[in-house]
Amino acid sequence: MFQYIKSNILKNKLRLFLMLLILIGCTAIISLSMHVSFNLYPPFESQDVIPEKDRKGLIIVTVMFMIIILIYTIVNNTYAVMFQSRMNEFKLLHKLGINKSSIKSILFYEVAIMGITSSILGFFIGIFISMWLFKYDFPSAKICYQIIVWIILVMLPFYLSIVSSNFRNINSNLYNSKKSFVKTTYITKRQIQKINRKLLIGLIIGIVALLLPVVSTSNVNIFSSILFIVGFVFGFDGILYYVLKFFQLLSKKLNINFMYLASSQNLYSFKKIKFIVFSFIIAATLIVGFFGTWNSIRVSTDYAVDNNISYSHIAISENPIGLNKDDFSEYMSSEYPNSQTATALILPTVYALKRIEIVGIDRSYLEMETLFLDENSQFDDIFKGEEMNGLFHHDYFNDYFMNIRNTINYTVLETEIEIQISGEYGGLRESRQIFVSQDKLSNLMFGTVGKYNSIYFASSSEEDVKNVMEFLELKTDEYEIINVSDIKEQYRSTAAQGIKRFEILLYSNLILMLSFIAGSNGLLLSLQNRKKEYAMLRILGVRKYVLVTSMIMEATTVMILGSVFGWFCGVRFAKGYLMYLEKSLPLNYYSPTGKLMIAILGCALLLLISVVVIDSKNIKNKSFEYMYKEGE
Amino acid sequence: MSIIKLNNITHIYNNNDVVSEKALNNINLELEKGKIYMISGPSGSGKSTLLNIVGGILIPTSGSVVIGETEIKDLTEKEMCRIRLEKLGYIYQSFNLLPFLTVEENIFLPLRFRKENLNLYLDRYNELLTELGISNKKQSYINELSGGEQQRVAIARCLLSSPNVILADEPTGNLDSENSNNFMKLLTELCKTQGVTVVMVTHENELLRYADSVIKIKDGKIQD
Repeated sequence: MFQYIKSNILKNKLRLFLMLLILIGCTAIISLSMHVSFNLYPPFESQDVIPEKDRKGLIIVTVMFMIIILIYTIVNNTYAVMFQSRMNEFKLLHKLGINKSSIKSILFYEVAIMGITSSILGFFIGIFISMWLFKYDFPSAKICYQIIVWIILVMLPFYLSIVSSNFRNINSNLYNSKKSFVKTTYITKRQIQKINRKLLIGLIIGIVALLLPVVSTSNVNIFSSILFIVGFVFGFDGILYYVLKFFQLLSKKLNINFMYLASSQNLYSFKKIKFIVFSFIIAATLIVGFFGTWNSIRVSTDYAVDNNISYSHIAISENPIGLNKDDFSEYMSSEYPNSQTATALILPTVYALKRIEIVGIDRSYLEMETLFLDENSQFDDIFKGEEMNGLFHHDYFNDYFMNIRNTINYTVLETEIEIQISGEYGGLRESRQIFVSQDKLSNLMFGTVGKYNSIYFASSSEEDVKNVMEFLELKTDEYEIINVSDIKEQYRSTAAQGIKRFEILLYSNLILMLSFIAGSNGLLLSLQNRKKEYAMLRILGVRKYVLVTSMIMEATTVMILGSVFGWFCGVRFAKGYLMYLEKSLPLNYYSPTGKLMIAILGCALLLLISVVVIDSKNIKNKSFEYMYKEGE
Repeated sequence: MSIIKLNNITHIYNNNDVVSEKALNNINLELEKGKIYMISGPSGSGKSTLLNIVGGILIPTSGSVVIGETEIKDLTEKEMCRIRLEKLGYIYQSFNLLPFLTVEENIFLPLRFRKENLNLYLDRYNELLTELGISNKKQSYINELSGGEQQRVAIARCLLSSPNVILADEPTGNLDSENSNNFMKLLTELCKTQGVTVVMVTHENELLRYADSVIKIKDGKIQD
């Protein structure tokens, strides 16, 4: 048996090498994803409350599941095609008297050799890639050696189970020489009727989803996104079928032979092609969705930080500032006509490392600028009662899980106060900023509403601030001046940190995308499996370039359909996801079109090169020789 | 007048660069227009190899193949494809039909690649399908047909494109005797009316009576 396995490996070096590469790639993806998720979040501090940050954790779990499903599909598909191409060999062995369990053992040994090799190599490649990624974004990451155990415990049985499931097909086929191993893949008239019905339902749902945001003033984006994707799933078969049919009719009409071959082949292998296109759609949806979300948060944050924190200095007093509003306003307009100021309530420095900042800020965050004083402004107008919020810096709340509606107790100025968190800055979740009612806080701290202890200065120098504080009769040791550019940088950095972590997720998705390209092995192997068809066409007089072009056409069609449909779904996904994230910061959708186009075109190019390189050998003259020698 | 000429043809199969097999050994042959040639011989004697070399599918290890006045070794890929498409017709026992096309699409395939106006061939197409008894299978896929029906589709495809030379490898292998005789009558008629040359590999001795010339092959050599 081992002699047979050895000679088989030697004979099918190229095919097995390709297979090994796929398995290594799959294991590397698993290894990388696990490593990323292990490193991304430290163990939870408490089991009582689910931390908000774990929303991302949930995404990772989802991505992991997707990866597992994907890899199962790739490996299963690869083995199915490989076993199919070896069907005659198995039949021959069986006829020669080798029993089923021996054939199964041969396959198991072959897969075990490849599985062990790919598990070890894939693990190290995954670790290497993740460490390379972390080097830039997450220097504190460590190698998780537990993954080795996972890989060995999970991957090998995983591959073997796939072999086992495929063997059932072989088993049933050993006794049936007439029926094809491959189930009929073309669609029957009855199935076309079913496709039409589903297409109609999908179209109705899709139109409703697209009209919802137009006709409704309420916030329906998430619902609309879900509805759109549901509609798409319903109509997908129909859309794909009619697009392929259109290509076929067009090619017949215009006599474009390569397109005719490609579209006819795709229509015949509809179920297989449907799966491959669907894979690309999921890949494109994920990449457009996550990348779009990430880009939107980044752009929105930059916008918010740049445009809304436009003051330059904050002067904070340890005690409430006694200020005559009219005098202050008059003084400012006469002395600093170009400067704008706003007052806010800032809790003073309580501990050296735990400074709390409560800035006057509107619930929408973007309206922070309304805080600035001008000549006619009145303090009462600015504070707007309960509409005002205080923005906490995150450092203070390291020991708290900050969920909306949570209540936080702490002592300040010897007063125990209770803060009800009224909102959360979703976009900069990692910065752990929260909002509370400023009036409530003022009342709790000073027994009255409308107090403040800080002044925000826009377009002022530090010298100006000192002069103003002198006017307010505050001595230099009674207040502290904060240069806001530092805070701005701090905000940006915390935001960037949050985004960077999101970015790591993005890397996982990029890898996922690449794995879908590996998923295109279904397409490659399906093309490779058409050796006889291509030989027949060559005999009839079809030129090589027509066959190569038809292969490219097939791959291109699949890629374009997958990318276009996936793009639509991805944008809906991103918009829905942004709505889900949004609490206080309005996050608009900013499409990273250029980068996405480069990513998708890069993948398409990779696939096309693979198609040409791997499958063009099928149409060489040599393959005819082999085939007709068999005939002899 | 010879339409195909084979000079000193030797062909060796290389099996993974380990074992070499001499399938044909110094074959000389001239095929004339409008005649039926039958190649017969035991299994493994080199019949199919000879047929494939005649059709330009295999390039012989040594020797020359001349189609008309052209040595096929001198032809570019494009020219060779054009000859296959326009002048040669193939009927093989296997590997002959595309599973992803219907019967109709398979039969029209060579004409489509020749960029012919398919409407001009519709009458002949219907006639052929009726003669071959597969007129009710036009829209069927290949794997919905029996072996015999598939063979008849391959025959219809070959005959519809009206080649100068028909190369057939066991074309009646999957047909019953009635259909075999019908097919042979069709071929004979084509030879007489249109001057088509037929080169056919067969095991069936009863078909040899249709041949103008029988080429017997054994161990890669033509027997006298």
